[in-house]
Amino acid sequence: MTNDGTKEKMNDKRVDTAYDQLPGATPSAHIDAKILAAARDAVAGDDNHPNVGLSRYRWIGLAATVVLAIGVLLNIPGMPLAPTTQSSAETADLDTVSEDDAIVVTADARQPASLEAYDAVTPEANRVSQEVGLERRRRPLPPPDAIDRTAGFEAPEPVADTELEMLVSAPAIPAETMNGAQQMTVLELEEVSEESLEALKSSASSRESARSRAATVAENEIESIDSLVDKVVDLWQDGKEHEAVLMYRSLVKANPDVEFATYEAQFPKDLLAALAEQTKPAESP
Amino acid sequence: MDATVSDQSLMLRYQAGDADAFEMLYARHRDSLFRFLRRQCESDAVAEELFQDVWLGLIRGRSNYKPDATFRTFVYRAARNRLIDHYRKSGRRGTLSAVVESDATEVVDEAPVGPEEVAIGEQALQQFSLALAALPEEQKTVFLMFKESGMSLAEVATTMEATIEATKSRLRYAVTKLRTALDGGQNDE
Repeated sequence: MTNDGTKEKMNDKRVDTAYDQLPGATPSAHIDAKILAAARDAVAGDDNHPNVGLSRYRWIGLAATVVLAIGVLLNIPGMPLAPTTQSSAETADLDTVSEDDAIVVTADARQPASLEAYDAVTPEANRVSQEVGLERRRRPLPPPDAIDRTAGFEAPEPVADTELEMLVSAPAIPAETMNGAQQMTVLELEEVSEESLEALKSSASSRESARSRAATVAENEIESIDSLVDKVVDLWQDGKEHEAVLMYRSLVKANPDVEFATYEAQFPKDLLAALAEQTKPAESP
Repeated sequence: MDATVSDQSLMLRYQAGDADAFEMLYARHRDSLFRFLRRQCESDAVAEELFQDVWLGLIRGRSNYKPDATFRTFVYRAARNRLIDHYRKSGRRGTLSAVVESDATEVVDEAPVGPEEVAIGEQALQQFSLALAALPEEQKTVFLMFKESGMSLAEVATTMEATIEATKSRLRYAVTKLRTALDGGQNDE
């Protein structure tokens, strides 16, 4: 047993010796350099880019920001308006609304009595019309045929925004009783009415201010009812029958508490007839 | 760098960004790991490719290293896995014959002279090399890993994902076959 164990141990030693005498093998210097360089680059990469995934997200965020900025600057549809552009657009829209609505309602606002009446309500009415203008600006352009029809109208006359506010709430007039220009007027009137309602409903925060503005406008309107009724008569006498009817109807609708029978007693008979004639078809449907 | 620093500490330092620690690790295991691979491959080129794959994989997966296992276990397991992949791709087993036939004589001439070395002649060494190449894969891997890595039998067993008894048995079979080859095939297993 001892001899066998000694012989086995010696043979193991022989195995070790034989193994050690096998040809040596080492990797080439090229492989060494490649591996060590890769190890150093990996560590350097960690230092420079600790999180590659996060870096990608940063690039994506940066690209999205640039695209958004370009969209805002160029006013691409679907992009938000630039703050500076928006403020200037509000001023521009104020003028635009006045001119556009002058097409809709051609009232004579150059009379001194009317101007005095409108001075009190102009600031509040301007704000509301400004909101209407913003909403209108955001809506798509009308179809080309609508533009062509509008182009046939006479040059717009200046009109106070108070009238616009009153006309916004005017009831619909049957299309069969109107000529082409009147139909366009009603279409425009309805459009403005929708826009003003949308503007008023745009946010909960603006509702309270809108209500207070409406109350102020209503008070001022009551004070100027006499002059407005006079203006209706003047319009009728100037031959602007349709405008006179529209104005009077919106005046009546905007002031349900006012007893207009006393005013109507002073109206010309043909004006009363026209009012009665346009009221009947409107109520029938 | 202090030579007494453990492999695990060096690897952790490399994880933390110390490239010098990696160089130390590489220098420690470069030759033995390459021999482990070369003696199971058919050529230097294949061995270098596998060797490079092992180290680059270690570099890429450095964040996955945990000091609960020894570095040797970590790196030799990776080397074994590369070998298995290579065997699957090539469809054949590695052989030592080419190395032995080309270099055995020269190496024997340069070997230090001693009582045992003198006893091992050129023919016996060639028989030994052929026997090593002819070992079953598991026995050869266990033998080479045990000889080259310096790991204990338990660590080899862990690396091979086998029991200690099975690993010991494979090693004993391998040594017996190699010893028989040295004796010229006269000893029985």
